[in-house]
Amino acid sequence: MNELLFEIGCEEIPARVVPDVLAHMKERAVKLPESYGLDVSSVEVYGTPRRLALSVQGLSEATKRVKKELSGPPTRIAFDKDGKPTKAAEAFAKTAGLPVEKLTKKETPKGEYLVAEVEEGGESAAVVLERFLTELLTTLPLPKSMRWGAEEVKFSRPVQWLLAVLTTDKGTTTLPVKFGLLAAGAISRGHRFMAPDPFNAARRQDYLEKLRERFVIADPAERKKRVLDEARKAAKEAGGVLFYDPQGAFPPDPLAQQTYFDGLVDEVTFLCETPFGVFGTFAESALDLPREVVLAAMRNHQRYFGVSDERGTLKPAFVTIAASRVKDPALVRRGNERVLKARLSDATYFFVEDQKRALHGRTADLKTVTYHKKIGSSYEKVERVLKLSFVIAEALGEGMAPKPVLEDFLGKTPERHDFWLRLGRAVALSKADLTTLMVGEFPELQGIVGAHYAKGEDPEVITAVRDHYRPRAADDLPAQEKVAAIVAIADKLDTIVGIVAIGQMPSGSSDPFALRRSAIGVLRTLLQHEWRLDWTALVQKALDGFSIKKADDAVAKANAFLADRFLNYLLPEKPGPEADAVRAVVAAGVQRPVEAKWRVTAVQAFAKTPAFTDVAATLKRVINILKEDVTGDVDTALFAAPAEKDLHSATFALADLKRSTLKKPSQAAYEQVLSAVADLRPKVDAFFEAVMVMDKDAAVKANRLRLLRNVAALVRDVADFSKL
Amino acid sequence: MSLTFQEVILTLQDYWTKRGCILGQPIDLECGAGTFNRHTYLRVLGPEPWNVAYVEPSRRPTDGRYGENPNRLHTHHQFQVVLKPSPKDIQNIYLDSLRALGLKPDDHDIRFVEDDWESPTLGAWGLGWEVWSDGMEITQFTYFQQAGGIELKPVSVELTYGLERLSMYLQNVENVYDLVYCKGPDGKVVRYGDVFHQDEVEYSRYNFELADTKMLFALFDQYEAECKRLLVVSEGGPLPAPTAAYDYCLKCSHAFNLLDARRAISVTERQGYILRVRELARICAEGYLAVRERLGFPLLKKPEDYQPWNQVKQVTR
Repeated sequence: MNELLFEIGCEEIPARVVPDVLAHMKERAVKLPESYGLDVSSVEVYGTPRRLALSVQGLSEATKRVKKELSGPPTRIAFDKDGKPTKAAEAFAKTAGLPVEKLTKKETPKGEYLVAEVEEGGESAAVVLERFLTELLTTLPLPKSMRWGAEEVKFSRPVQWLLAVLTTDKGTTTLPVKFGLLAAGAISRGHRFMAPDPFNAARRQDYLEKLRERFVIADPAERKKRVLDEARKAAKEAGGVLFYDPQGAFPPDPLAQQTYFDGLVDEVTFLCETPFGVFGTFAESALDLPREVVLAAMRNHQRYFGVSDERGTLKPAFVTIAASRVKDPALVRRGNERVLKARLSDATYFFVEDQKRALHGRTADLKTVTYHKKIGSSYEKVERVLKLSFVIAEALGEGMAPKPVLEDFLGKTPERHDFWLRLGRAVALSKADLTTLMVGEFPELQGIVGAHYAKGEDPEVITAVRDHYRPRAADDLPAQEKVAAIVAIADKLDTIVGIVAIGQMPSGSSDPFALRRSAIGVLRTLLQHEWRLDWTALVQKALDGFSIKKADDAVAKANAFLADRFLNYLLPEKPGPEADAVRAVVAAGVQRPVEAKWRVTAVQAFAKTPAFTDVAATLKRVINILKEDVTGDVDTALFAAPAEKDLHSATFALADLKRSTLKKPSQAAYEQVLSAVADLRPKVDAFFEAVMVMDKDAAVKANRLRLLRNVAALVRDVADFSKL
Repeated sequence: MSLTFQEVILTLQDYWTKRGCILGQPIDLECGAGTFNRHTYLRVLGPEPWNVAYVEPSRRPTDGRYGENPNRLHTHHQFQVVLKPSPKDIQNIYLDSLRALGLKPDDHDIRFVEDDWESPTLGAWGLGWEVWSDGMEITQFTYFQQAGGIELKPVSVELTYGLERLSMYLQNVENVYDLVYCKGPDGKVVRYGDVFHQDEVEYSRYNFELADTKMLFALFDQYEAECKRLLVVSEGGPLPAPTAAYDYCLKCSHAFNLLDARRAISVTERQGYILRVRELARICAEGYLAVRERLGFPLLKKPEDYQPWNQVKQVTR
């Protein structure tokens, strides 16, 4: 069986780059039949920080031969008066790779043309693969690439060697692939320190085994398993378990599992060629620091795993994955312990220094912190968020808000806590931790640090300081408590509206202010609490808070952006009736996302009923007739057929029912409305049977259009049925 | 017995000079890192080969801690190596320098951990790693891609050893001031604190409390003007003097660092000052490259073809 082995030997490639590049290499090799005409039976990729490898098996010996006809110039141009071939004929023959005599004439509708019968393909696998690999090397999706030495080529880090061999029944050939000044060979290398000598490899199994003997586990999945084994073993030696190891009995917290376990395992897998677990300890007193700070100090720079008991209480220990086996692991442990000790002592210093000032005193410092140079300071942002939070709370029925003056909430910790005081205080403290040393060192702990420094405040205020950043990721829940959720919505809407107002809408892959995440955050928070707020009204209110020059279409743009995010969030991956329902609802408007979500579910359920197809067809017919705006009331005196009267009174009754049902909107209420509309269908059909809408009499025609408009109005604000 | 602080320096000097490096000297001006030295910042520009190693006392005014912090210093010392073009086997050559210091990969977990380097004030960036020994960063390893906004061809590699940190690690000392600086023949020990502690206390006071901000703002403007003046190209006027101009760019940078430590520059103004220094760094780089080009990139020539000091006519005094 013909087999290709290709390896790019590199200086250490960043961990996050390797998995994506491997996936891309695999995809390209799987497409070899379409893009290069070579058959393939199996493709595997392997990778470590020092190598990206591709193994392709079951390759055909050559590309398929295909006969092809190339058309050339018309014969009248191809030959002169004497019948001798002209320059045009010779040029065509050259392109076709044939002598002129071998060209033939062919009659076509456009006249007689010169054609060439050529056979394409039949290129040997070695030649094709050399081309494939050369192209692959220069087109890998590397997020950041560099040059080195006098090379003109770019790669993630300098390429040290290339191995490119094709093995067939006849033997093994090195493919003359070149990358810059480097030419491919048949040689690979083992672990940097433990087995640096070169060795030959040609077949997949042979390659993997030789690497294994040389302390390289090339298969990422296998290496990841080893990382887990090694880390778990080391945690056990340290007398605990890995923090948020899914094998443990931790309280559910997807964000903690992703942040402190899954993400770390994935990253560490690409920081070594073979993992060696080592545990270390630190002073118990460091555990007086907030848990998140200890974990961040371990994870951020050092990529250490936390060690805890089964419930998540941290132990003064950590696990690191070393990349080499050393003579005396105690030495490695001691070294790592020293580093962590220094980091934790820095964190302790920040913790003590920061708390020499009360948190509420820091809010005024935000006047000198630029939020965005076109928008203003972070202090001004907090002022706007305060206003918007009060607007939201009023809309939620909290009664009359006091004046939203930020200074009023910046005094000493209040003793009495009515709702408005809690909300105002929560906003006033929400960004106060941005100027702390701790957040300077660990920016991802914003909010979490503030909550720790807000000791003594009302518990709801503390929660809001921490949780108004939620959901922090797709895995995280939105803010659960009311005050926190209000601040979360206000903060995020302010961000979105402000950035849109200065004309920096996200586009394509560029979303530097993470507006998309903010929009999803607003949406998920609204849905979680079933708050039927009109977010388009809030956009307008939010925009009013900005004193900067705003783009004219800012409101429209922000609303369109939010509607688009709603669509994106609810749209199922597969196209079909479920997806159509989402689009139809969005087309009808999503002012109140919670209601829109109910409408989506109701329409999706409706689409599953047997009556749906006919109802949808009938409604589409109605909508299609209503091309232009129709005004005025229906005049029953103009009715000519009983079907008209019938439809009119049924529509009237249904409109009434709809109004009363939707007084208390819910998913069930929308389902009820849709099923009543389904019941109306026979009457609409009977109407179309009985009369011509486009009557010669203009008054009659207008009256019938009005009637149909009333029918369409029954569903217009639920979903756009023309999209179904 | 592990190496003293000065033995670490001597070992690295010995190692790198034997591998063809010029033994450079620190620049005789305040500067924040070895990269700011002309030996690096200007020499990485253009096609001429260049290999140099030197110690750079690096001032970071905001990092001063009055001699009270075991790890942080107002002035720390970098051992800087620049090789242009970067040799193919540079990782192994570098690892041998660790072996020379007694750091053996058989005993320690040595790794190259991604670290992208960028200097906003120099308009420079590169890709490379932090080199870790048992989780401790001991060297910054960077392939320079750009300096002064100019694409670098060929690429230089810059190795920066943090001498205090490395020595603390080698000597297993937890407080920088406890480092053994040197040992006399009679066995008398001089410690790092004996040499530098008072400096740290005084400079911390100066940087955070005493520096005259009004003077520094004025100096910044004057230095900036002088730097630009030396780079003006005008017909019939004097030739630009980019090397001297670059001195004033460094002086601006230091004045800015002091003002920053005194918290005299607001967050909003800060970016503006950084951009001003960056602009100076950029025009110095361009000016330097233009002069080297006019000279025909001397280091690309055979040594005997370029010895302007042997062609000087009578020097008038």
